[in-house]
Amino acid sequence: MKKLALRFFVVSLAILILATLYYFQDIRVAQGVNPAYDNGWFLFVLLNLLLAFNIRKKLIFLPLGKVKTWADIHYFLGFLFIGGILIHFNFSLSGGLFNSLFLLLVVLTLVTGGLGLYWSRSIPKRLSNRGEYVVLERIPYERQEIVNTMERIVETSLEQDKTIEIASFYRDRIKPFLLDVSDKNDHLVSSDKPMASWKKQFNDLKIQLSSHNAGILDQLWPYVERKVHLDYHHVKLTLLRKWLFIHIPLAYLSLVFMLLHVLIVFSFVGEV
Amino acid sequence: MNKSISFRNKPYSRPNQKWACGKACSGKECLLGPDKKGSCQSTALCQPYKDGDRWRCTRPTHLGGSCEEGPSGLGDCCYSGGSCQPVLSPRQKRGKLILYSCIAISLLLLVFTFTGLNQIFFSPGPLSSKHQLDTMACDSCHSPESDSPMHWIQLAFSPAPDDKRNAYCLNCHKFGEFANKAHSNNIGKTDKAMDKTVACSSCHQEHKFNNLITSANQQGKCNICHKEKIESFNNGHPEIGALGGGQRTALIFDHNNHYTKHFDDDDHSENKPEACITCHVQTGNGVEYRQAAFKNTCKKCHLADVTGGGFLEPGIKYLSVPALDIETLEENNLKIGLWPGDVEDEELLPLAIWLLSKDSELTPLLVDIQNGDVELADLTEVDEATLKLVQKLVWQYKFVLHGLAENPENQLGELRSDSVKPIISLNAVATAVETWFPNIKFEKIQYERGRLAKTRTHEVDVKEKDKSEINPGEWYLKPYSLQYRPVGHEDKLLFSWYAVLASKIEKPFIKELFNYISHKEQPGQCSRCHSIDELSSQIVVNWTETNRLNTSKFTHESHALETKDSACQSCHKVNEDSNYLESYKAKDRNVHDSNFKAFTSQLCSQCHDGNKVTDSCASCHNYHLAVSKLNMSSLVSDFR
Repeated sequence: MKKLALRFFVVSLAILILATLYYFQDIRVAQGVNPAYDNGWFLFVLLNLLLAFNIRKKLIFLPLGKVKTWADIHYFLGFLFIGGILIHFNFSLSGGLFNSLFLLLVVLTLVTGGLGLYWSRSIPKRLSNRGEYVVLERIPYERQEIVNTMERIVETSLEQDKTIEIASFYRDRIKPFLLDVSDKNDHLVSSDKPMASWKKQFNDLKIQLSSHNAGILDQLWPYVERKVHLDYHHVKLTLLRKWLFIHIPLAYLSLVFMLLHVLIVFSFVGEV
Repeated sequence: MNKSISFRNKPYSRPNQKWACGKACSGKECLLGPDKKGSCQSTALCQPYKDGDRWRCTRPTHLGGSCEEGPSGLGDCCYSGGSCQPVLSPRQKRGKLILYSCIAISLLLLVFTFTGLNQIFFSPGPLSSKHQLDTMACDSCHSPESDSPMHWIQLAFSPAPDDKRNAYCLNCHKFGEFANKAHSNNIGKTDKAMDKTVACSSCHQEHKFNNLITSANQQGKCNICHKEKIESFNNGHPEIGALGGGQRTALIFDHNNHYTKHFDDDDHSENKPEACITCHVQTGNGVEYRQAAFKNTCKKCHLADVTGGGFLEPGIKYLSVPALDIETLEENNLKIGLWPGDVEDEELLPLAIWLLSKDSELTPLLVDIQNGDVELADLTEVDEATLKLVQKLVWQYKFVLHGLAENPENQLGELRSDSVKPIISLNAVATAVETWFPNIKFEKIQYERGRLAKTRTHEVDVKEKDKSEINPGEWYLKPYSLQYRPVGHEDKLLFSWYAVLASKIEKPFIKELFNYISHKEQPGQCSRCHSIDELSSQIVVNWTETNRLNTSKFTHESHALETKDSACQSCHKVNEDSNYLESYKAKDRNVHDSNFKAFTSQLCSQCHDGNKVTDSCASCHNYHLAVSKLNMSSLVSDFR
């Protein structure tokens, strides 16, 4: 309830700010000032505040508040920026190559930002449904641990039973699967196909094995299942991190364009 | 599975460090990690520590835990090697991506900026259709240096003044002398707040696609300067007022008098217009109804007035021989040479006064004559000094007239104008001088030698023409005056007099001369219908309505009104109580008592409510009060 009230307050505040900005235009027109200068500077300040979030993440040694708080403010300012842009462009398209490119950059930044927000909210929930949550950097160790454990089980099975079905299955199918991230595209779309595929392979093999080896196979299954989940986590967590590789450079490029835009505007101010 | 995140089991993630272990992606990251320069520090799998007198293995669990062999006696790990090629941390990769992309884009922008491509690249959009001409280029509207980025920086910090920027627009759009001022006019010259340069860009914006060149339709634009803020037509707009927007019409026509008096007269009843549109014709653009030509309307009754036919004297008296008190001058022994005798009722006319005013010594006497303090016909009570001045005036008058006949360019001086027709017939002047002062050449030679001719009188022998014998457009001589009969409506000579005098109105004695010629009772009667406005330092003769400041517009055609009288009178209701003609005496265009009742805003707001029909200021009001003339010649020559 408290969260809902906070959201309502934040949305109301954003609407209030944008409405003020919109109706402030009439006042500025009445004063003989082009309101685009006001909302342009508003956008300039907003962009710099949005970029400050990235700088904040580097200044971990300074007590600048929680990153989560910064992130929430970042999202809020991002929404304000969308409204500000619409007001600045007077709800119409801009003309000219430079302005169009600038607008395209801004739109791409906002779109990637929106996608990032969506992924950062949706992916953790999905990850919690697919095994235990793991930090991206630790996935290789988890994977290595699975390799070590499974190899011990396979070696033990070979010592107890001289048949090679399990060892062959491990060597030919499981080992290559364990060495790297597999089925990236399937995991990207949150498909259950990889898990189903392994389940089928295990079932198909199981009916050919003795009861002893079938027991060994059952011991291997949780690790394969864990590896599938790790791959899923890896793909999703990589996505959660890599979108910033597009979003942040675009934001900085927008700043470069914005600086040039300001220079040109003030060079030709007062000209028709 | 081991889920602990203790340092021994798994190394901590350090995203802020520049370099990461090259083996991190395979889960075999060493404990030391790379140094700050990105070099691998790992020479062994662990760094043993000394426990008492024994070295113990510290190999982490994820690399297999403590080895069976253990460290050497010197404390070295028994597993040498294990070095890797460190990689940049993800955050560093992202930072480099940002840096390189910013550099690349900046370089690209610099290429566009410092090459000839900048006009194309930075152009903020297509021009409006009216400006999409082959002859238009960037420097038609912007300074030639505007393609120089260094100039942009300079302009950004010290922008060019508005009048300099406006100059580019005014190259083609001619709004006259006061183009840079509010409303392209000098209406605000007495108000400091208004007497400032208004940038064209205050209302007009280019590069806005299609035809969105003007933002004058934005309601707030007018409120920037106007103290009385008007929210909308229905909110704060004053009553529209009388026809003419508070300014009287250029042409004087009293509808009341004509319809209630003159057209009821039997002599003129047949000339009564059939309908409003008999006299008022719609202009080509369908905006206004203007007075029809004189020849189709007023001429029916007023032809004789403009040709002087209806007057006792059909011509305007330009020069004369003033009646002079010769006896008094003689009594004081003041010689004036030969002078016409028996002159009665003639005065020194304003043209003569102006001609004589070039002699500054005579100026006080001329002022006195003009004011009636000195009468040349009766000098009995004038002091001796004035009498001597009168003597000088008489001689000068003769010489000036003689000079006018001999060397008109010199005598007319500032009234000489190449742009208008000659304002006086030199032959007529020469004849008059010969008739009035036949000995002038001899007398002048004597005068220059310091000998004044004796005072004598002579009889002027001029056969006076009958009124019917004087043709329109003729200069004719009466015994003691030279007169001109106007040729009819649009008399070019009279027009020239008006034009020349109006342009020199601030000069001494010119205003009196203008008032004399433009007097409504003078033959020609121009000022009887064409109103005259006296501004602070200029005179405007309103020959046509186009000279007016049309602050408002009403497109009759688009309002689809019928052309029947009843339709006209639904808006234009005659005000029978108006004091129309009196209001013109003030010679102030803002003093107005219209023949028609004031319009009510309610009449317009029935439709112009901002919803059904626009209620923007510009839909009814003209901003540019000076008539715009588009001059493309300069533009064309620039690009040929």
